Amino acid sequence: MKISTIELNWFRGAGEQVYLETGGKSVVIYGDNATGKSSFADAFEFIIRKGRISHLQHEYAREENSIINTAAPTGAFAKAKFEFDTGEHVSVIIPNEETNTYEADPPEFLEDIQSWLIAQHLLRQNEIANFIEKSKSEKYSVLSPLLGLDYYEQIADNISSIKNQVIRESRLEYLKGVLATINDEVKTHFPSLKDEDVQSLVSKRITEYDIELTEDIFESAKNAKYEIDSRLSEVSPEIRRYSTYRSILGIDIVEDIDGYLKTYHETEIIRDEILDHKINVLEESYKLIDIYEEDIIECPACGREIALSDFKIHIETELESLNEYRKYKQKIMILKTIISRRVNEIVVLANSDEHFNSWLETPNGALIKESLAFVKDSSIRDPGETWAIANVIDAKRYLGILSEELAKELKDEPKEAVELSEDRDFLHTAMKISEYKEKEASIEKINILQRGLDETLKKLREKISEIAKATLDLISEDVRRIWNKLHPREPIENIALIQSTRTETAIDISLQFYGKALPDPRLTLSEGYRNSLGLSIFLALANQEDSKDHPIILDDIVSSIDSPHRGMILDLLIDELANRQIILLTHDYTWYKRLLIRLRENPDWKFFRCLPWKTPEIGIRLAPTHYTFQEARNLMDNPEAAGNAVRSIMDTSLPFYVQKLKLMMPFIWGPKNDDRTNYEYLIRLISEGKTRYQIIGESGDWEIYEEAISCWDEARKLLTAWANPSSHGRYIAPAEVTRLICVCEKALNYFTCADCNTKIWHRPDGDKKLCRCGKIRWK
Amino acid sequence: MREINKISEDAYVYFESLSKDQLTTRITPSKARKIARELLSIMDIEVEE
Repeated sequence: MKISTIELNWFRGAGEQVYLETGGKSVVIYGDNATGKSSFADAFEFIIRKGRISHLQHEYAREENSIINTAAPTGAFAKAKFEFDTGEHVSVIIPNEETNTYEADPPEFLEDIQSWLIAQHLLRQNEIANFIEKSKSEKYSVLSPLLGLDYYEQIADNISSIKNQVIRESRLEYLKGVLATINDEVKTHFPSLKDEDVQSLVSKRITEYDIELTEDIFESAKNAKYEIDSRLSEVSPEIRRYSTYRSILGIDIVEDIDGYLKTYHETEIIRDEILDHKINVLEESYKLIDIYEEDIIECPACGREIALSDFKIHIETELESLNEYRKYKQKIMILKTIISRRVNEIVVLANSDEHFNSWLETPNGALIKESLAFVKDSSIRDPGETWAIANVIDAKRYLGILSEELAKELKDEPKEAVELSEDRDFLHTAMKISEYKEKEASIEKINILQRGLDETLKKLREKISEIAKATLDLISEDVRRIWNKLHPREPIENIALIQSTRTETAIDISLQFYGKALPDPRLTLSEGYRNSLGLSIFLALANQEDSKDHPIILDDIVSSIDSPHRGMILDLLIDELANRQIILLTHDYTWYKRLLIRLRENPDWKFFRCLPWKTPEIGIRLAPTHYTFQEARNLMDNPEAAGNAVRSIMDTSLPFYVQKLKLMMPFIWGPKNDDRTNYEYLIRLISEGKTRYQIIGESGDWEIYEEAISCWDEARKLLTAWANPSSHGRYIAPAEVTRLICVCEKALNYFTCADCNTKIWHRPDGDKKLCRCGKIRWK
Repeated sequence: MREINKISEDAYVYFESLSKDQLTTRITPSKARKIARELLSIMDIEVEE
């Protein structure tokens, strides 16, 4: 597919309207700096990247008016529209205040074009070597969508996120806390929690109270407990409270609170250090470890040279201490769960016995009442709350008083109640075993779910690695082929994009320099080579199947590439991208001339010029071809500009004619070879024309075409005297320009036969070239 | 996820359908939470209201 038209209205450098009609051909747009030509590239990127332009990333916001031309009238909006030869079109309207509006026909084309990767479609001068200079992870990020990995990376991200939520929502740490609490409680009575062992111990106790054994052993235990409560009441209504004393005393909580306080204290010591310092160090270090290529690196903290392996060990140690802290945090959560469960159990026991409550109102029960009141209102009943340490310490003190006082009271416990109370506590504990098993099963299920998600993630990573390798191999092959075209017989070989050996989400570039493997081209290649490599990678990416027929825009890509390689880039564009539409923007006059000479007769290419910038209101001015003499005449109100235009016409036309006539130009070392002026071409034409340019004279014989030679010589003199200086800012009079235009136009017309109106090279005849009617020839 | 299939075929089926339909585009944290709760609930694991 090819762009057939681009229309910009008040977009970046565009005025009210600028219209580029490519006719589906590849296009060269030449213009000095600041003539607005990059606005076409910007519009392309703006649509593909949904309102973003990379080189304006700090200022693309509407508020800063970098998209809408500053001269746009109040209320006017910027617009960019691209029409394609497939009949599809896409446009964006950018109002001053409201949201951008995208339109496409058919509507689904918008999603299609916005799925294009900008890295495959647009290359700017300042971005050529960017890819090479990016870190390995950044390279991976750029290539990941291209490698078809976005799909899998997205799934992996989502699964990771779900896994974290599973841990959070299942309250895994809380469940572990509950399990630990029950485990502590039941292990005194039930060393083994196997069904048959529990059943045997419980049924033995139950039978002593004539309770029928049911299938559910825990239901039977519950019935037996009621029976014991009833028997306790029968002995004496007051005796029931001794059972409550015993039950409360059986709950050993002070030790847990001590454990909590100790752990809390330990975490407090290391918390600030770890949280504020180590996590930052780790985050930064992880970024760095991926970037480093060398075995010896500079320590990011102290600047000393250290081995990368030592640095890795250092990070691992840091991670270990972070994990240590994490373990403390988990331990604290478990202890909080245990403590709160136990405190709540005390509160429930105290509330459930009316005799105990009545006794609390007596002078003997005052201390216990005060202790219970504190515990009831304490935050330590809720493990989800933040526990103030002072409150925990007070709770511990009150719970200690409670234990001491209850122990004193228990000394008077009637003997007949002791056995009943012990059995009651035993059965109460037995009833907790079912909850224990339930929580244990839940934790196991959560672990299985976590393992399943981990396993899926691992498989995804394997798949990602597999696809990346295969696709990188293909791209590398293309990069090598393109590089070899740009740099044949040069000592850089075997360029390849490879997955980093350290992590699968990183990509390296490897190559051989004079047969020696180089790990990082950033460090060894010259700027020119880096640019060539960047260009090779871009073209290889652009050549991938998904974008093979899309247009590509190259914005000033040759600025830092030397003259011989520019020629090879041109060959590459013509050969490699023959079926692609290329929109080539350049401010480089020499490059433009070279493109003109090579491509002006190629039917697949069109040339445009951005005229010199005048004002933002006028904006970008596109001229459909290179200058014409008529255009030069239209510039007569600015004689210097008109003279410059004439020089430009002669500079770009004469090399083409010289090439057509196959005249040999002397080789000049370096870039000057591409930067010859009209003067040198005219000298060659005149000197060779004196013996080779012939016309049939009145006698019917071939004669030297003196008139043409004389005109060329006059043009040479005028260009030297007036046009060349005018292009360097010297004054030229309107009359002089008029004469210059007239003579130069006539000079170029001498390549065309006045009778048959065909060029002198129209009909090749051996070593000779003739016009169609044979009146003029180049012998 | 085969281990999950052994203890909860429904959870396995739910997760497999997710992989195809909902996991290929970025999900928000609240959506991830919803999916996590759904998985836990299908596996009869108690979650807080």
